[in-house]
Amino acid sequence: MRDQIQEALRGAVADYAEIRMERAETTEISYRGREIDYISSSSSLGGMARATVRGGWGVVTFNDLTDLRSRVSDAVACAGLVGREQSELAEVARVEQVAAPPGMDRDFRGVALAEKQRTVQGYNELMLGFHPKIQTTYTIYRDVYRQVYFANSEGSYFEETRPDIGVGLSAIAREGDLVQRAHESAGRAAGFEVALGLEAKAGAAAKRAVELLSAPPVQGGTYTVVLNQKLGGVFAHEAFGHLSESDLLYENEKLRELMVLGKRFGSEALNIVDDGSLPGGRGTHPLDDEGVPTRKNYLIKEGVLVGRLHSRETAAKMREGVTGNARAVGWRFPPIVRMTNTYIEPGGASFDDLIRDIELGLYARDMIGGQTMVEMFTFSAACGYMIRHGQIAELVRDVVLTGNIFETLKNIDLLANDLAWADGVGGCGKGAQNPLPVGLGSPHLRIQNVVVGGRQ
Amino acid sequence: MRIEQALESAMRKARAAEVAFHQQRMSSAEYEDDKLKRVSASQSSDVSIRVIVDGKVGWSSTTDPNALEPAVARALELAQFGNEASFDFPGPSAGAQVKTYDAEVERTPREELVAVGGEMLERIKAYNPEIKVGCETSWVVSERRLVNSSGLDITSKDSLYSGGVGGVLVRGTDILFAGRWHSWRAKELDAKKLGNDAISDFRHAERIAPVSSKNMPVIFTPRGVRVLLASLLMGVDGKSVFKGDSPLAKRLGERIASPEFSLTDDATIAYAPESGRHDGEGVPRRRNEIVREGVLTCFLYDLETAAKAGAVSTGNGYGCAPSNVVVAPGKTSFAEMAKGTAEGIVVESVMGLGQSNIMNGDFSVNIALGYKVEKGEIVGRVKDAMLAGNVYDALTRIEAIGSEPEWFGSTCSPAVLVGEVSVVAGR
Repeated sequence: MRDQIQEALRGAVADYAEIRMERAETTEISYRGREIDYISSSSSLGGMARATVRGGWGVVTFNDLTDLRSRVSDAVACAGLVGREQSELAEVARVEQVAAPPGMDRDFRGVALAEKQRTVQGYNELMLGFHPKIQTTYTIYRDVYRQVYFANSEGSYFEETRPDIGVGLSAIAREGDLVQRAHESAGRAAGFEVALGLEAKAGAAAKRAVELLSAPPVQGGTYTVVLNQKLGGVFAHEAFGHLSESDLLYENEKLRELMVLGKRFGSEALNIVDDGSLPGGRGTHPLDDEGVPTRKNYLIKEGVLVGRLHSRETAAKMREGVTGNARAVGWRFPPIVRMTNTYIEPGGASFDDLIRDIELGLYARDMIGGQTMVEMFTFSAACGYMIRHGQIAELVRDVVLTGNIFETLKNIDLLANDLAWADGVGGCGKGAQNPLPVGLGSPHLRIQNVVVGGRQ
Repeated sequence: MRIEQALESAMRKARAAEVAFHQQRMSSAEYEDDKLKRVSASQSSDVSIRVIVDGKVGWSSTTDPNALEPAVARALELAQFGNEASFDFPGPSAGAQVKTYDAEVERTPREELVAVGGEMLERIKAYNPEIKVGCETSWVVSERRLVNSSGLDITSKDSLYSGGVGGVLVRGTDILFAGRWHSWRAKELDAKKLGNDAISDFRHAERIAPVSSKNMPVIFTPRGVRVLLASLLMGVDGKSVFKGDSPLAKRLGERIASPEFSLTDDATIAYAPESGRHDGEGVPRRRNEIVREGVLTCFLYDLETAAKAGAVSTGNGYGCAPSNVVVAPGKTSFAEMAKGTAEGIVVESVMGLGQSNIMNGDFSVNIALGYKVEKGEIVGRVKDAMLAGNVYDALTRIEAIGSEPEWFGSTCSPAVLVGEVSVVAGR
């Protein structure tokens, strides 16, 4: 592969050109109720040639590998239609590396399909048999073994192996017309060991789905809210992290003003980090898809905005250092600025410290999903508990939190000392690129004045 | 290895087999933050293989043209664990002619995609140079061939021409996003209209109108209507019905919406984005009436689910998903709806749909772009407010259906006025 792609780049008439090839093998098994819903195996091979001419990009994707040189020249031709200024890419050291695959206690490619199926079926049966009110389940297993080959016109070359494995466990309980769902998951850049020993999670999903049937919907209003770690992680990623992606900012002066480095975003206790080099993280890999080494990047330090995430182009245009955050979800897409493992650093408080002074509040746990539109965010907790007189009280359902990120970050007034990671089977979506494996982490957080949606 | 050989190879062990070959070419031009950023071209192909062995289904796919034989072997292996197959692949059947290909689409040069995008961008900038504009124009041409062991051998060629324009307006810490897009199988993109419609959204949102928490009438625009349709379409998915997950499972023939509301799934509309002569399994596509004058009249099925449920495929394979979704127009113009509203909200787009218990019909969404109506006039943008309720409840309280249907993706709907919806204000 190496000779073939380096040869194709030779003589490209562009300011910069690259080829990234990917080979991926995916196995998916899903159960819906007692039956297998979907079992499939797919293999994928394809590549992308990308070139820049006078600051414009040309992108050509293909799975016909017979004439790579013409793919490169077509990318150059596309770029030629775009470029009107000067190409700017941050200088980076030339890389030449064939990275060892991340550790896998048991390489999932060597695990028989029958064992994968039995494992998933086991969790599925456990949820179905948990309680008569469990009506159905949605259980999914997915493993992907992705190999990336990259070369550019600056002489860099790398190969990386990026395994990703995940299990999603959803239990659906029903009583009359009321249907409630609860979800647990596990996922990492590791081997089949990730899929083993999840019985407690399956049980927890089933138990919560049944409990939610008798929980009232939360009363809409403004509350002091405590987020658990999973929900805190989603919040850090969705509400704040996306604003740190410089492709949103680098050509937009107004948004840059909102995100000026040195501006205070929260209390001194608030630290938010993105780290693609974190050992064992779901969003971890040594190099990004432009061949830039990943590293630990502080976004907010002691409440002050200190950094953001870059591709080579955004780093050069904003006159900041590279961060290793140009990632592509697969060969059909160009690398864009993405998060890796994003987390809020722990504080010093205990969970009891967080709730003790709350007369009427909400303890929101886990997530169903989250979405943002620049400064507005909406995310759904899997469930919540009312906090009354400093104590955890009754379970409530339909907990949807919304607000303005800038105000909400300032309203984080207490952080616990219990950082935990929420690893799942899905991933992050941006544009059409979905799902990208990312890590999400946080301690328990207390936030004042959060709008909670619900019926009146 | 060719398609026929893959089928033959699969049939050495399988009772029945299907091989689908798909290839596509695509071209696009993208502007970001007022600048032409990227021109792209792509070529891709894939093959998927479905087999029935010992009464069970196995499935695999590949984009590696040299890996057809291993893909067949994997499909055969997977069949041991697969679902029970109480169906057979369909034999040849003509199906009604549906126009899905316009040769003009792929004749569009890259330079023209760049120019059309530039025109939309300039239109928005002329209205307000402060708005940062992004847009994308693209075309895709797909060719499919589907062969199976029942003697089916069909080919199809589809085109799709799309354009979209959107902008971000930042004022202090207030950030407004608005935009429009359109896709059609024929090259019929009205770039001027797309630009003007986006501008009209920005105009309506120039001022921010305060809103307080209470129940009030809500007008869903042709794009906002998806708040109502998302749950309903999940509820008529044959698989959800068969599994008993759908709250509509036992309600066929019952009134589920106000009598003004009719909904069809229609793959036979010339050049509509999801139109086609056959579905992905080779079953002729058709027009399915899902709701007729408020009464639930059908569910959508593919072969596998239909066989299990004792129904017939409605041409919605594979996956029981709708094709083009059409809400029948009513008699009230949008202007009349607004005029008759003393205090209410117009919902153009929302955030967080699908995060609540959507199968159950529950919604609790942030109004991403919506307007306040006071005394019959749109007075400004609604900010930091949520909309909460239940779709199945809202459908019975539809007070008016608009007379001006518009396409949004593969959905064609007029505006819909719902009597009372709970609005929760942030401040």
